[in-house]
Amino acid sequence: MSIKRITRRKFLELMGIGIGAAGTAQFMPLGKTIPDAKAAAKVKTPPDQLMRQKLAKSTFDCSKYKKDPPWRLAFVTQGKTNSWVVMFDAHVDYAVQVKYKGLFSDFFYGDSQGNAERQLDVYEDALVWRPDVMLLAPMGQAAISASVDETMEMGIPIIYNSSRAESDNFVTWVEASNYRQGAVFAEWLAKKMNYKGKYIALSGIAGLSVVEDRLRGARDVFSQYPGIEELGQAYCDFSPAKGKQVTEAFLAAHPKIDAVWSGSGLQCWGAIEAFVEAGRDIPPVSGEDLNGFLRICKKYNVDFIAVNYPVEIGLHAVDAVVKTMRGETVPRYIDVPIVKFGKKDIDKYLRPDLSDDYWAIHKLPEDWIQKLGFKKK
Amino acid sequence: MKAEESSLRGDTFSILERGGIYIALVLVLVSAAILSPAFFKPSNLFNVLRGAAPLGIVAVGQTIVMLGGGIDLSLAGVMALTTVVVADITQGQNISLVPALALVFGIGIAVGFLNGLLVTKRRVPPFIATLGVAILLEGVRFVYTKAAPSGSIPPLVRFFANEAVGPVPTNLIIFFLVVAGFLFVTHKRPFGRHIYSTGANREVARLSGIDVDRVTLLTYVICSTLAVLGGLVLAGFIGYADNYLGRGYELDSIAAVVIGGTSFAGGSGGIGGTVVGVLLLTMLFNIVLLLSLPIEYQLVVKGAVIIAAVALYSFRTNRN
Repeated sequence: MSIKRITRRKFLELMGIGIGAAGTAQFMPLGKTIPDAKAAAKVKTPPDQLMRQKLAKSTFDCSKYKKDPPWRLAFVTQGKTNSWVVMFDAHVDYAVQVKYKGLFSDFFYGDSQGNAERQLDVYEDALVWRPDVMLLAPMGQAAISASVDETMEMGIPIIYNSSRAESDNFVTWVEASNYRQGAVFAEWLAKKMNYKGKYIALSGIAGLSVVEDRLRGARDVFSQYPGIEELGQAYCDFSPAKGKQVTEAFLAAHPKIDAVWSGSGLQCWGAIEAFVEAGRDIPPVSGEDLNGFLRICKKYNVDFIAVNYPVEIGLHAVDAVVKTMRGETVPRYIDVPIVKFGKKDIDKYLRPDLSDDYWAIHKLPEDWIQKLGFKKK
Repeated sequence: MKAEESSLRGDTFSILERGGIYIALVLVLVSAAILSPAFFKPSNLFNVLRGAAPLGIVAVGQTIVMLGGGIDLSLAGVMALTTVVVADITQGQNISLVPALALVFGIGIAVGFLNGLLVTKRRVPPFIATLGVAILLEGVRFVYTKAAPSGSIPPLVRFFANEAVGPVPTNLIIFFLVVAGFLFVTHKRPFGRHIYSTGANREVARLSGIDVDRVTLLTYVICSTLAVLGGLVLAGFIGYADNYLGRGYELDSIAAVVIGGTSFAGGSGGIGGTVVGVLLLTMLFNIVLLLSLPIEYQLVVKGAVIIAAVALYSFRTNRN
């Protein structure tokens, strides 16, 4: 099997074909399902969650795509713009190169450089490459939908990988729920506050669906408890520095903060520093399985909940690719399970020998982690 | 009678022109006292000033460039690159800090030279030249880090960025040293006059014997060097090698400079106004949070302040 990454320029030079596209889009996926969160039982199911539940009950017969291996796989994605994507992409690589060794003859990596408009161009490049199957992590829901329809009409099956486009014309969608993540954080914090108290909410970048879904999940849960009050909410741009500045202001304004709901470990890191420097007790906080966040939680003995947004989604997506090409019937919606853990399990997940940007819960072998550059020098 | 009214109106405009930014600062302080007394808590004032320092340092650099008739969109890229390089080389240890600092300040100077050469020798418009360099720096950063930075910020950098000497934040001392140094340069040294002259009218400055290309190039070098310093100060504030450190600082620094009264066209304004512009922006951000107002208000307030400032200065320019 030859695995090679083909740049857009090189490919167009080879094929002598130029294809352009334009449009606007958003970043990352819409809201997700909440199949097993305690909180789910308590809140009214939003429409996008109903959509997921409906999808989960249906299947897709892939017999028409059955083809003997090796296959040509195109993966069009966000591109390596942060460490989460690095590990997410690495799971796709691992599945193609190791888990399903010999099943793929060629691999096209479509790097959108974090730009939804550019993804349209990259997607067209991938189509010209004539893949047998397309793995797609759309950065916008609407813009790429027409292309998705066109691809399915061409007989190329589409598997959505973590996010989805507006088009319902796809084989299966593999993801985890941002809404559920926010809700699980909130349910744990509510319990820690004994269902009565005041919290602050720290979000990532305003307007991103991944960010808003987590916040929506949290507020749906908190709103069930009349004794819980949101003191304030701020967007911290996934920046620990901004998380710290924002928390400093909240600390000045509010003499009592009983919990910090943070949609990400990055801004919560800054929040913890702010509490420490203000000489205030650190309340229960939420975050993710990010090594730097775990490191600071351990340093200050913080009571926390961490829930992963699984980097292993990429691996499950390639599982779905293989099933599709083998002509099996696949569920239309695959919800990748999450892991939640707290203070007592921190040593199981924290890796002092690795960098702050390492994500603790994954399916990669150790040598891949070293290869990705997470090992401290 | 009409002449008296005209004179009175002229005096009012004159006060607004000269002191508008300071009046705005006083108004914000008074509003803060009424709306949120927590603003004047010593701990909050400490945090506001400490938060203002990184933006202030890079805004001084942006002021120098804009006074000379340019603009620098690459400074956030320099800040981020500085952080990941220092974290990677030092791995959080003071022992390798000196070579790391030598390298990142070298990078800053090189980036400034690149910006300056593109603008002066290749005649690339400053906006395009520095935007291109910003994108280039992002690419270099991703190649260097593979999108996952390693290491952390050494304790010494954290001390200068996050501690205090008595009641004064250490990074604020750095900021004031930078301000004092460049106030001296711009007001007391020939180079300062050359910057103003070049920004005001490049051709006249050249005919007056000023090496305008050299002056322009040096303004970019100063700006990039201060971006390195600002990056270190911001990185030390949290201690994390953030791949996106300084995101938005290029625009916030321009906003602070414009609010402070430096002309987009160059040649007028100064560092004093920029300092007030930085304080205004930082205080507004803080007050909005103290009042628990949603982000929409924060953006509306910030936008309104910029528009009001630009409108005031445009009025002054037209009147002159």
